[in-house]
Amino acid sequence: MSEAAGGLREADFRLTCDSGFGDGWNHYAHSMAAFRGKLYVGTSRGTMAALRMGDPPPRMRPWPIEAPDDLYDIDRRAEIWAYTAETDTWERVYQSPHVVGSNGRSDVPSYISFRGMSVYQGPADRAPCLYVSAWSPHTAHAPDILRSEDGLRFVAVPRPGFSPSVRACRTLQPFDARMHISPTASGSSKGFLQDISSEAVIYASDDLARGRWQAVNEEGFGNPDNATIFELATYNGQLYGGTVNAVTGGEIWKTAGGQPPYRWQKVITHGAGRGVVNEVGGTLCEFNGALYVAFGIINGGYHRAANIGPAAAEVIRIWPDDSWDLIVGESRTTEQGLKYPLSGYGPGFDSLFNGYIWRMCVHDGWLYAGTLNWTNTMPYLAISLWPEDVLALVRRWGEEHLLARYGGAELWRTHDGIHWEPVTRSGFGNKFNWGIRTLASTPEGLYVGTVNPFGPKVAVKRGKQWGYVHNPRGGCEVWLGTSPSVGASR
Amino acid sequence: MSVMPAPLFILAAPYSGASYLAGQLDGHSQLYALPELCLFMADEVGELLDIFRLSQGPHADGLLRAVAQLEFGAQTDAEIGGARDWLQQRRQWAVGELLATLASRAAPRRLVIPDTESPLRPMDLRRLRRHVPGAGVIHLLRHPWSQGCLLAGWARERLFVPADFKDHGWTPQLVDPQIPWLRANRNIERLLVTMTHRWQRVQVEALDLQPRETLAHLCSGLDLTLASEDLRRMLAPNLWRFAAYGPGTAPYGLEAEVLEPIAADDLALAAQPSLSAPLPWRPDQSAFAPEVVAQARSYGYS
Repeated sequence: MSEAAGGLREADFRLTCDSGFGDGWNHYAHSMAAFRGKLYVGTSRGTMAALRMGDPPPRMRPWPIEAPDDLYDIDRRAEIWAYTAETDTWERVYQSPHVVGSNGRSDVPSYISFRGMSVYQGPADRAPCLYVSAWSPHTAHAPDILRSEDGLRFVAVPRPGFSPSVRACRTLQPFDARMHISPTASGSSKGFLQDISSEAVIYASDDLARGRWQAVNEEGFGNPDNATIFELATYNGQLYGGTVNAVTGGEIWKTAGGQPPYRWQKVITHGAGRGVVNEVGGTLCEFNGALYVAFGIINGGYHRAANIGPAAAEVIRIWPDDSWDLIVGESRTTEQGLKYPLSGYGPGFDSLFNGYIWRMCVHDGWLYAGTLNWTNTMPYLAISLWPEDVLALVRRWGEEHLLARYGGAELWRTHDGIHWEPVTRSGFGNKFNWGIRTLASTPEGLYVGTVNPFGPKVAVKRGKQWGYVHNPRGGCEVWLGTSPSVGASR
Repeated sequence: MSVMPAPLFILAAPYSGASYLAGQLDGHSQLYALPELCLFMADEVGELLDIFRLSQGPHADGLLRAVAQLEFGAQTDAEIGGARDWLQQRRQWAVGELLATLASRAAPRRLVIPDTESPLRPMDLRRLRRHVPGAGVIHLLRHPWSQGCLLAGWARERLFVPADFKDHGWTPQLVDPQIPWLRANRNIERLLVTMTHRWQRVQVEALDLQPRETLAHLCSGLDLTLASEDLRRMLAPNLWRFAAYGPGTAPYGLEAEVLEPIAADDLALAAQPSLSAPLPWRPDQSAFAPEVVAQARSYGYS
């Protein structure tokens, strides 16, 4: 309940598609944008199956989904879907092609995910175009940026001069008449890192059709510990970048632009005084005159290879003079004074399981924040090895109760940045909705895209035996929230 | 027929004397003080009971003692059991409805409720305002030095100290009372600017030094006449029916400062307030953060 009218409640949302657009291997609604009257969603496929090949792989027994030993047994060609609200219909408008890979196979997908999406009209574009950043396996080719004028035909534009191990980019950020992009994943035959790139460089282009990419920053903003520039956003007429830094904590930098390379200015260091537990400045969103930034730990809140975490995410807000407030997180003394959470909520909105605050979006005067919540992996984790205090908490709650009530991603909202209240704390009633990865504010309402990697078959314990069964609610979902007044006028 | 005024809340940072003042106000023949109810952690009673069940602290005790006393007439384990059942049967109630029922039981005396939990969370304060329109407020203050010495002394012997009281920039985390002091008082300030009716601010030091005058001034602000018998009882808060520990099944509900003895060293230290001296609870010998100093000075502390 809230004093300000108009915020969306859970009951205001309806499901527009479930089960990964009918295919449980569509695990992530990984990117989203409104374009030419439709909503576009780029998927990531077979992510939970690929995660098993990570280095080190998460310690989950049994593996949460039935996954083949050979990833090529899964069709991992990423897809782009378009939704028409008037007819309530989804249409697949693009599917990644196969290429002949460096391993000689002819069934290597060009793209296994579309991780970023943006509508942008560059100086050479006749009209706004839809741009999509792709993720390519190491056996394919460097990742592409796709361009579409009509939402039906997608063509790769010339790539930046990535280093060979770059596998994906994330956000496509228009700024100062250029498109900006930074690599956020790397991989080779030895393994992959989904959240760390082999280079911490932002590339900019003023003519995507011709390429003309230029690096606009010194590697890692001059700090070798900044392994990746993970997220980009604009605020107060400047471009902001958030880094992954597993040594001293994530950083935030800003620039006024100009001729490349830009002059960059440090805004936040040392994870805003929380150190490596705020390893990455991963989500940035302007709201009510401030830049809201969510910090957390990569790999879902537990960067096991670097022994960071598990810990829940924080939110701060930055003002134009670079001063900042702690909104959600842990009280502490910092170089900028004593900080306590203005919202009253500790990390993860008081939940250890909210490893990321993954996406934020402004809709109808409200700021919405969606989380990644790993409660639903508990049945597969060796929780007996957890710290005693965490274990005591889980026992006190009861694992079944936790899963039933809070076993899904959370969506929170605020109208002033201080008073936050939950829209859903259970993945809209589907505990398999692991995360809220995409949000888009449109005239039709607020679209919410989930990460749901618990399909097509999920591990279920019956008696003492584990078995894999079809999961009718496995696969990403897209929800549409409309205020009651909008719904009533239809 | 006169309209019963809405309950009166004593809002304060932890260890600022809220429970003690509640006991004093209960001495007035027109007031009826309860323990801390922690009512505004949720909108509905059922959700509140769930939070209590999962809590690592004794958050339920005050409400259980209040219901036991007002509904069942005593505070033994039997009545506490009855209170639990009574609350379970009202899971669907809004917390405002619950409070209105308790207020009707105490009528014609006006309820007084100390609250050091809600001030830590803006949403809890918003629930207070929404569920209890017209609530009266006393903003109770204690010098951050004195408050810090008392809270740090209490925390020294505790295995569980709320995360809200800690500086998480330290390993292990450091109990730092200036954090809840600043947080609670700023949140209360934010609430007060939205209130259209009267509220009062009182310093606990004034209650210590000039109890008669301060209590008389408080009563005047509450439109209460103060008979000599009222004042006599107000100066004996140990007579309050909730003044001591409750029964074994709900012993708490008050701040520890009125339930447990305070070490003489802590009392002596608390009696020498300063805004510039190194803080005795911080190993780095740092003084108050500038934000705390500014806030304290705005209240007239030095």
